[in-house]
Amino acid sequence: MRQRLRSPVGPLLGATLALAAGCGGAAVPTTARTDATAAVHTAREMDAAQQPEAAYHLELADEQLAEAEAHIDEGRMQEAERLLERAEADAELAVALTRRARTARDAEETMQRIEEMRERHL
Amino acid sequence: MPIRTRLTISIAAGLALAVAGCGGAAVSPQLADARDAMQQARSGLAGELEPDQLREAERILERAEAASDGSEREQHHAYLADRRIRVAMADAERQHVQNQLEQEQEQYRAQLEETTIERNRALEDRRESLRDIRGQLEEVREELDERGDTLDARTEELRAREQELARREAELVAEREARREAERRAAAAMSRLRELAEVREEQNDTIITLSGEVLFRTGEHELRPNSRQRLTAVADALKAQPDRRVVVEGHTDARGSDADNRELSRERADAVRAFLVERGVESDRVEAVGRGESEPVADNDTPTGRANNRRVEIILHGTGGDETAGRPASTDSRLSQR
Repeated sequence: MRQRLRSPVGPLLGATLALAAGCGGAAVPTTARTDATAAVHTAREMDAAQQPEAAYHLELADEQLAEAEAHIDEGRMQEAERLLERAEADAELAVALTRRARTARDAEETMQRIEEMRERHL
Repeated sequence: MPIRTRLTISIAAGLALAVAGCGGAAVSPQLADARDAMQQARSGLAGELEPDQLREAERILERAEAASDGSEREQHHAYLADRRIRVAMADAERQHVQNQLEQEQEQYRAQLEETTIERNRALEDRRESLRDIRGQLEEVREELDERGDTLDARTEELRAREQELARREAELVAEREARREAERRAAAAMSRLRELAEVREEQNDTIITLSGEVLFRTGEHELRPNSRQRLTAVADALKAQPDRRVVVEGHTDARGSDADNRELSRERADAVRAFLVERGVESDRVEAVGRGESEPVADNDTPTGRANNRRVEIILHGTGGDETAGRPASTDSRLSQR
């Protein structure tokens, strides 16, 4: 970002361009893109697709990520950035839901084991 | 940083212009939903377990509310806030489940520990009682051993007694046999004697009477040769009854002086005694006594009576079967010691 805005006129230029493009942004939202991509990657790594509710949000994140790329190609950076932020939020939710489901499943198994141990030993 | 600040200001300015351009509207359904979700999250587990995440969501929600005009910006932040709230809720639920699990595990551990302690105690009790039982068993075993030893000793003792008894019985039988044999011999000897001499029983005594004429010439005290057969039979009868004491008594008739008669009778008794001893009768059980004319058995006024009074009596004290009757105390005074 710092590299792209070299001169003091940058901000003014940015604002002007923003207005000129209607609701778009000039710079590619790199950070948002990186964050969103990383979050989606993490969710996929965690097999979020295997858990229905998480899978839905992972799908949303994927779609929004693709849409954002399309906006970037069209130079619609503001829309792209918002979509990336949403993609990140959905990917993070997918991760949380997957963790919750996994924990619930693990807990259930553990409870069952404890119950078995109780029956066997107590 | 100053650049970023300026950029932020410029973007805000740009957006403000854009918002102003697009015009105001009512609160978006997304924001309304996010507010409801926040309400729900605060009163639920998330409010308790994930307050930091909710504060973060609250900040995003405030950004949406700053617009509060149904704009895309408001919807965008409401969307982000909604996701953040739901992440907080999911995390809170996860935390809750984990807490419950930990509680459950902790409870189980405690129960297990308690049960283990109880079982160890029960085990110790059982060990204790087992030790007691072993001790009692040992005592019983020792007592049994002792009794066994006693039993062995008694059995041995019993066997020895049985053997002793059998031996005594055998002795007794042999003794009885010997006695019977002796009695038989004695009876046989007496029976032979009866053919040669007068024999009578008085109480426990057996009295053998031999006529003076048969044994001696008148006035003499040497045995006639032909008397020896009879006296030998007497000796045999005496030897067959070795337990009986014997007194040889000499008797005379009333003719002549008393003193002479006493002396003659004693000399004759001595002669008979000597012969009996010579014939094998033990000397220490035979006494010789002279009675003179003091104990007549017939009338001294007739020749037949006087002949009967001249005699030698051999008295066997006590019966053959009665050992103690052989030595009556009264006899001693009558014996003349030689």
